[in-house]
Amino acid sequence: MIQLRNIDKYIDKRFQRTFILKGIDLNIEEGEFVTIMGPSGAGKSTLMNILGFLDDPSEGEYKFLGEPVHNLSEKKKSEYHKSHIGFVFQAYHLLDELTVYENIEMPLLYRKVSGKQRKAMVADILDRFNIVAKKDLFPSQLSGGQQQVVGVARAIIGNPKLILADEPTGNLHSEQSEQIMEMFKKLNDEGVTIIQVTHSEKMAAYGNRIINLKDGALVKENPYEEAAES
Amino acid sequence: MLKNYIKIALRNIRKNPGYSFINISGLALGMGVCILILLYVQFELSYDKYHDNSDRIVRATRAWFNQDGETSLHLGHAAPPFGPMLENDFEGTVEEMVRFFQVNPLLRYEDKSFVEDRFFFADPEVFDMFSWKMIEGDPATALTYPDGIVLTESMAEKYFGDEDPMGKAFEGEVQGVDLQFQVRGIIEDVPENSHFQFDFLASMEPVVQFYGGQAAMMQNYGSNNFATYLLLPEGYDYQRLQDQIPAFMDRNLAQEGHDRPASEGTMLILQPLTDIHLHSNLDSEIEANSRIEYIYIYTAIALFILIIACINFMNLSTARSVKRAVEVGLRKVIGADRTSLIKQFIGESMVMALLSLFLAILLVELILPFANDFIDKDLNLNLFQNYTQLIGMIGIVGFVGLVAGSYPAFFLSGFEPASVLKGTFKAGKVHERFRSVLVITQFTISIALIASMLVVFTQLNFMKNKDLGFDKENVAVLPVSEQITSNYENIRQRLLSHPGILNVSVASRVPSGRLLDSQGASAEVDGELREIDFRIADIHVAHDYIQTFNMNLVAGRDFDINLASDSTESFILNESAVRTIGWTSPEDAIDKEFHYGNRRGRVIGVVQDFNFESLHQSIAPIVFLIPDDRINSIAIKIRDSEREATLEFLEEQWATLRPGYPFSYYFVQENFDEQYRAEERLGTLFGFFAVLAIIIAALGLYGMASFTTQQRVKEIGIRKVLGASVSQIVLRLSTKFTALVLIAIIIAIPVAWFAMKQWLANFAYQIDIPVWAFTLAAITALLIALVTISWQSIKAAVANPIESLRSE
Repeated sequence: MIQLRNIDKYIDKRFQRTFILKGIDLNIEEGEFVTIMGPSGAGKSTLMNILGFLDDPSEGEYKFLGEPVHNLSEKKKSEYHKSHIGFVFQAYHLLDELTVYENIEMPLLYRKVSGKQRKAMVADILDRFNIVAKKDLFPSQLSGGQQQVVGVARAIIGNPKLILADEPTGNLHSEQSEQIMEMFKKLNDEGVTIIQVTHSEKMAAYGNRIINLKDGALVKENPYEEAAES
Repeated sequence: MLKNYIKIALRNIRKNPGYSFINISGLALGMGVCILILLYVQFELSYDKYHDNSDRIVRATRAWFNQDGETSLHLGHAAPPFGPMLENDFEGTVEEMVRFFQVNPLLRYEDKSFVEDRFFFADPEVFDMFSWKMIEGDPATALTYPDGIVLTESMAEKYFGDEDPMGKAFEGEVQGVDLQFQVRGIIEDVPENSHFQFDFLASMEPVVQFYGGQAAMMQNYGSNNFATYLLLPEGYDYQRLQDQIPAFMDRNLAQEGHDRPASEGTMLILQPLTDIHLHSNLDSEIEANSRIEYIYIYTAIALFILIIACINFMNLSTARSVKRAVEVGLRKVIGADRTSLIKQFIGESMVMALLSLFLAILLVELILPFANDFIDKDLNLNLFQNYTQLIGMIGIVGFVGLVAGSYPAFFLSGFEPASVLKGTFKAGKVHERFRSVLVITQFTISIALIASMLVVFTQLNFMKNKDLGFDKENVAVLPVSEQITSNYENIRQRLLSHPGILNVSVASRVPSGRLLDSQGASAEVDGELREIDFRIADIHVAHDYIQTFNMNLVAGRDFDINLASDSTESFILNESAVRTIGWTSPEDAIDKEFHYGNRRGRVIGVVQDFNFESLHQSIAPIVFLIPDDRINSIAIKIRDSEREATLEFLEEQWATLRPGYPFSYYFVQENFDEQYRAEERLGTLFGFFAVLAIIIAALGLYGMASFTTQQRVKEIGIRKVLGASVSQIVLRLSTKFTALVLIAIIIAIPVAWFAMKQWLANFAYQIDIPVWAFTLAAITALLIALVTISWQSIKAAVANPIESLRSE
C-alpha cells in the first residue's frame, strides 16, 4: 500500500543542510498495524506528515496504492484525504463549536454525502463507539479519553483504508489509552491499515510491527534501549 | 454544508460574546451611518427626476461678461422676452416654454390673511411641462384664465379648511396692487426633492399688467426676474441649442453704436433641470441649491466609516486566528480544499454583516428623526417600496462581507495543516505588519476628520467675528411700503424720536444681501471720459445710510440733505471701485466726472472697502447713489440696551405703516450668520463622523490590545518574576501602539492639510490653516489610543505572574 524509496527531508539553512529524515526505505502492506517509535526529534512526525501528504519529501519516491505521490494534484490529495486516510491527533482537534454529532458528521459534508445517508452513518458510528448518549454534548463537556474516542470516530466515518495516528494516547491516562488501542486493534482486524506514533512500549505492543527511527534514519534496534544504555 | 458554516458562525458569536459584540456593534455602527449618508445622497441625487420630462427640460439662465470675457454676473433668471423669443426662433426645438415669476403677496380669504413667499406667477403650459399632479381642476386651462390660481393641498386646507376651494374667489395684494384670484385647481404638494417649492401658481396675466402690457414686457431686457424653462424634443442634446444661442443673442439684441456683438456682453446659458440642484450656484436662484462637492464629501465619509468598521472586523478575526488555524488544518486534513475554506470564511463574515445590518437598520430608524431635524429634510428608510435602497443594503452587506472577510479568508485558508495541528503554531508575528497597517489607516482617518472639523469651525468662527468694515450689530431691517417711501422724511423723524433708535435709512439693498443690480458706467480718467468695462454694483440709498452702518469715509464727504444736487448728480464709491477704475487714490477720485446709467455727475466721497456680501464673496466695486425709486428696505440702528422696547415700538408703527401685513424684520448680523449655515452643518457633520470614527477605531484597538496582551501573558509573567515593575510593563506594551498612532498622525496631517486648503479656497476670506487644530487632533487621538491600550496593559501588568506561568 505504501512504498517509500530513499526518502530524504532536509532544511537548507545558509551553508548548512540539516536532515530531518535520511534515506528512509519503507514498505507497508494493507492491513498492517505499524508503530513508529523513536526519541524526540527523530523525525517521527515528519514521516507521518509525509505519509499523510501533509508534507512533501525533499528527495526520494513515495508511492501510495502504486501511484507516485509527488505527481498528485492538490485536488487529488484532497480526494485521498476525504476517502482513504483518517487522522487521529494527540490534541484531538475537535471543533469546539460543534457537538459530538456534528464533529463526526463533518467529513461527510466535504464528501457531499446526502443528508439521509449521513444520519445513518453517524448513528451507526455513535452506536459502535457507545457514545450515543453524548451526541449532543460539546467537546468541552467531555473527558480527554472521550474526546479522543470522538476523534477516532471522526477519522473512520469515511471508511478510510489508512489511519494515521500521531501519539493518539499522548494526553491520556493508561485506562483511556487502552480503550483507544483496543479500538484500533478492532479496526485493524476489520482490515484498516493503521500507522501510529507512540513513545509507549505498551501501546506499541498492540501493533504487529515496530519501526524505529533515530536521527532521521531507520534503525533495527529499539532506540529506547540504546538510549537507556548510553 | 452551508448550514454547517452558518451554524459555526452563529455558535462562534455565542461563544465569544465580547469579541462578537465589538465586531457586530462596530460593523452596525459603521453600516448605520453609511446607510444614513447614502439615504441623504440618494435624496439629493433624486432632485427633479420625478418629472416625466425631467431629461428634456432645461433652464435658460443669463450671464454678463466683462470686456475680457470673464463672467461678471450670472443669474438663474432671465428677462421676460427671452422665453417667448426662444420659443419663436427655435420652433420645433423648443416645444414648450414656461416662465415663473416670484412675489410675496399678502393673501386674504374671508378673515384669514397671510404673507406667502412661495407664490409664483407662471405661464399656462406649466402642467404640460412639469409633472405636478392636479387633484382637481383642468391642468390644460387652469392658468389660461387671467385670474386663475392653482394651490397645493396644504394651502387649500390652510385657507379653506373643509370647504371646497374650487371656484372660490381670493384676494391678494402684490407690491401695493390689489388682485383678484379665482381657484381653478388643486395640486398635490410639491415634492421635497424639487429645486424650488411653491404653494401657489397664478396666471401670468397680472404680471403682464405690472409691466405695462405685453408689448412693453417684450421690450424689457433689464428685469431679469423670470425663471425660464424650456421643453426640448426627446433625445435632443441641449448643447446643440446652446450652440445656436450666440447667433440668437446677436440677432435679437443688436445694439446701435456697439461694434461688439451682443453675445459677447450677455448670453443665455442652458442648464438641464436635473443639474440645477447640485451644479448650479448662480448669483440668483429661486432657492439656495446644494453642491455636488458636498455629495462627494459625504459619500467619501460614508465609505471611510464603512472601511474603518471593516478594518475592525479583519483585525479582530486575525486576532483569533490561532484558534481558527487549527480548525483550518483539521478541515484540510479531512478533505476540505482551499476554495471551500475561503467560501466558509467569506460566508461567516456575510452572516456577521447581515446580523450587523439588522442592528444598523434599527439604528437608522432610531437616528433618522434627529437626522431629519438636523438637515431639515424628510428622509425615509423604505426597503420594500424603494428598490434602490434594498439593492443598496444588499450591496453594503456584500461589500462588508467581502472586504471584511477577505483577509481572514485568504490568509487563514493558506495555513499548512502540518504546522498548525502539532500545536507549535504561533500567529503573532505573521499578522503584525498587516494589523499595524489597519490600525494606522483607522487612526489616519479619525485624525484627519478631527483636524478637518477644527479647521471648519475655526473658519466659521472667523467669518462670524471678522470685522467687516462697518457696524453690523443691532441693525434691524424691515420691509418698506408705499406709505413709508412717499412720506419718508416725516416717518424718519418720528422713528428717530424714539430713544431706542439711533439712526434710520432706506436703501435698495442692505449688507448681508447680494449685490445684483448694476448699470453701465463711465468715468473721467486722465482727463477724458472712459467707458467702464467691468461691473460696478449699485446701492440706492437715503442720506443716512453711511452713518447708519458706520462706514468709514476715507475721502470727500457724505451725502448732504441740504444739497439738492446730491440727490441727482452725486456719487459715493468704495475703494475697490476707485482702484479698478484706475484712479490713483481716494482723494484723486473726488470731483471726477462719473456717469452711471442715465445719471451724470461727480464723485463726492469714497468709503473704505467693507464686506457687503458674505465672506464667500470678495469685495466688489460699489457705487452709492440717492434715487427716488427702488427702495426695498429700511435699516434701523437700535440701541442695544433697548432692543426689546424698540422692537415693540416698531411693531406698533408698522401696523399702521404697512397695514394688513404681519410684522417681520431681521438683524443684519443674524442674516450674515445664516449664510454660513452650510459651513456650520459641514462642521457639525465632520464632528459627528470624527467622534464615530474614533469610537470605532478605539473599539478595534481595544480588541487588538486585549489580544496582544493575552498572547504576551507569559512574557509579562516572566518579566515580573525577574523584577520588572508595573509601569515598565505598561510602557513596554503601549509603545508599539503609540508608535502606530504616531505614524497615523504623520500621514493624516498632510492629507487633511491639503484637503482643508482646497476647502478654504471656496472663501474669499480665509484663515491661515491653524496649526493648533492639527496638534489638538493628534493629541486627542493619542490620548484616546493610550487610554484604550492602558486599560488592557495595566490589567495584565498587575496580574499575579503565578497565574500565567503555572498554566504551562
